[in-house]
Amino acid sequence: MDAVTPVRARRPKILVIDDEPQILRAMRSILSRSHEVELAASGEEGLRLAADSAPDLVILDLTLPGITGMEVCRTLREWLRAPILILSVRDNEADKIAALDLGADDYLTKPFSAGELLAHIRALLRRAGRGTDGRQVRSGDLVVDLAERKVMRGGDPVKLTRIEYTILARLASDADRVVTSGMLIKGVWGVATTEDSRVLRVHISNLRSKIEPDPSTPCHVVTEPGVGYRFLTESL
Amino acid sequence: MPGTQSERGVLWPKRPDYLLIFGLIGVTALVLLSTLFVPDPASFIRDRYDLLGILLVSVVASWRGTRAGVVCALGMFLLFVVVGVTKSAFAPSSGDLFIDLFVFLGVALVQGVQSGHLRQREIAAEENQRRMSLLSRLSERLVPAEGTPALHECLVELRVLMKASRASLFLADAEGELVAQAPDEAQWFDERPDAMALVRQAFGQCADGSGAEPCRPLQGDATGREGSRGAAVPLMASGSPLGVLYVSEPQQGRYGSVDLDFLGITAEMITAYVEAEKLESAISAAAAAEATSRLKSNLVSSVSHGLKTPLAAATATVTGLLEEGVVGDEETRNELSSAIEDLRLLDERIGDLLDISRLEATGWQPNLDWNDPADVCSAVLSRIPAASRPRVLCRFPSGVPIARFDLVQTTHALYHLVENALAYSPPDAPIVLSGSSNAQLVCFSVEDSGSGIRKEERGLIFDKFQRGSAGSLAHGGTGLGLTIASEIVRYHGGRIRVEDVQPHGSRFVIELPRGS
Repeated sequence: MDAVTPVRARRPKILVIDDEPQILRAMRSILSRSHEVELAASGEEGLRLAADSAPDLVILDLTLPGITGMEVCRTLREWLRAPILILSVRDNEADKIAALDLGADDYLTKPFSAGELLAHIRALLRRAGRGTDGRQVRSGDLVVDLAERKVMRGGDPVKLTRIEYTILARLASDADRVVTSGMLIKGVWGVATTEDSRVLRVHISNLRSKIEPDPSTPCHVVTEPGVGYRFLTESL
Repeated sequence: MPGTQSERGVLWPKRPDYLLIFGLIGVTALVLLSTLFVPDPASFIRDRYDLLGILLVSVVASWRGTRAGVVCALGMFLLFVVVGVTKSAFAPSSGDLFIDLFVFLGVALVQGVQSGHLRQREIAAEENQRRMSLLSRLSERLVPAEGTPALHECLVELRVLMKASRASLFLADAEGELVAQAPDEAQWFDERPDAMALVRQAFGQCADGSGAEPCRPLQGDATGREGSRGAAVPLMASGSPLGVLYVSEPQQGRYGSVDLDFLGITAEMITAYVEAEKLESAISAAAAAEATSRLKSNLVSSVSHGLKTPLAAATATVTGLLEEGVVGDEETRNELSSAIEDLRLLDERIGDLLDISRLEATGWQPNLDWNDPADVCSAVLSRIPAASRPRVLCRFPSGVPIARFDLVQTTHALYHLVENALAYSPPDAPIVLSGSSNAQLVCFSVEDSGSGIRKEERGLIFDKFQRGSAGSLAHGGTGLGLTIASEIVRYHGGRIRVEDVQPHGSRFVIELPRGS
């Protein structure tokens, strides 16, 4: 089902919010070939354009003058369903986690190539176009059946503990999206404590030894260092 | 009881007892005058001579103390005996005389002791008052209501108070050597080795901490030549000597115990002042260091933003040209690919420089959290150019337990080690990234089959801008990678080392505490 991209009547509309003119220019040249592009040079302008034009996807830089990227993200999430892609700098995991917890869907670290950007956009738009309930999520030969609460690997059922399944199901229901460790802990245990991150790592490690062909280079549940985990349906 | 000359010293000099002399003259005049108004002086003296005697003994005892009172009582007694012998008309009976003697002695003792107590208290109160006023004069110099505080002013004031020719302060430097605080002092003390010896002795007695009562003011020899006659008072701060206060003695007279006590208190006040000064400069130095660090950090982040933004824009634009259907010409596409590789290297190198200044700025702390050591594999691989990825083999045994370390920074350190290994080993030679652990440590190692590192170079490779001789031309890096790796490991409280691999090649090993 993933192989077929839904045919859209119109080109997807993308809103880019970044205060750097060079980045806006580069974005326009990359995106305008296959998307409709709207550019905003500040958070205020971005919020206004988002309300006026109802974009299919928002690309948001976190370092903005005036209203910060974080505030724009929070405000957008209150009423906008379209995915939000965060542009961040390296070594700023805390900001990435904060933005993801505020409802951003994914992040991209500067500098990025046009290929990476387009792949992220494709994945986000594809996920936005499909439903999220009662379905099977596939990653290579691994199938997570969220309705039947079953996990199959190469056609054979995989025996998981209750917590391992809960973790995998939480990741699979947000497939291709980064789930922060905090979100994962909250989803599995309800409340977050410091000790939980230790327990979470142990369960993930056990889970990988059951579902991954090579647990040291996982291909289904991958680690986003310092941020969280991602269930991959196809490589980005 | 009044002190002797040597105890009183300079601050509390002995004054002649003018009051006593005038008092005695007054009493005598009063007695003589009273006889003029008495109708029969002869019979008055005969009947009331003992009253006169008691009055006189009482006056003497109260002015000059018990001893003088007793002497006066005995004198009175003898006087009346003599009078009784020579002028029998006035002579009291011998029984009366002995009663008088006991009364005189009794009055002398009681009056003498009582007035002695009072006098002692009076002296103490006066001494205290004077000492307080002198100390407040000195402290006003140290901490003036307006203007800058000056130790020098205080020393000048002290010199005037003590009628001394010199008041000097020595403070110990970092090596424990005494340094005179005024520039001209050194020569003065050079010419007077006795005085300097006294100062050193006063300092030394506190420094070694031996002796029952080690830190008292020392007074120079009375017979010493000018200059060595003086007092050296050690300055003590929290049990260790800070320096010495030296005050020479005046031409006439010596310092008494009161003077030395006063110098002791002055020394304590100066110690408090010097300590406060030190503390204040330490605080301002810390504030300056923090401001510098903040400035540096701000500079780093603004440079980071300024350099990286156009770079990110260029990378995005150029890679955009390689997307399908934009540029079809194969030659142009190849050129664009190498331009993209150049941009990547540029980004890496700017990153290296920013990392090293961030790591050098104080206050960098690893973000310690529980992590799976095997996670470094994918994280390192994702940062290596796709062409080199097949050369890197990850070997993590499944039993390596989770540990508490900064995954992002450790990945960063290992990435630099892998980059280094790729650059210094033959093309297509594999690089092995592996992990292991024991009860205390988690270990990562990066092994190559390159030319190895010569023994004499091993101490240098973690220094900034050092490059191995074997690959200095082939590999055009910044030479910062290994420094960054070792700094990251150091902040983690871990260790990094390099060892030989047989038959050739080297292995970098990072050991981090596993955490608890």
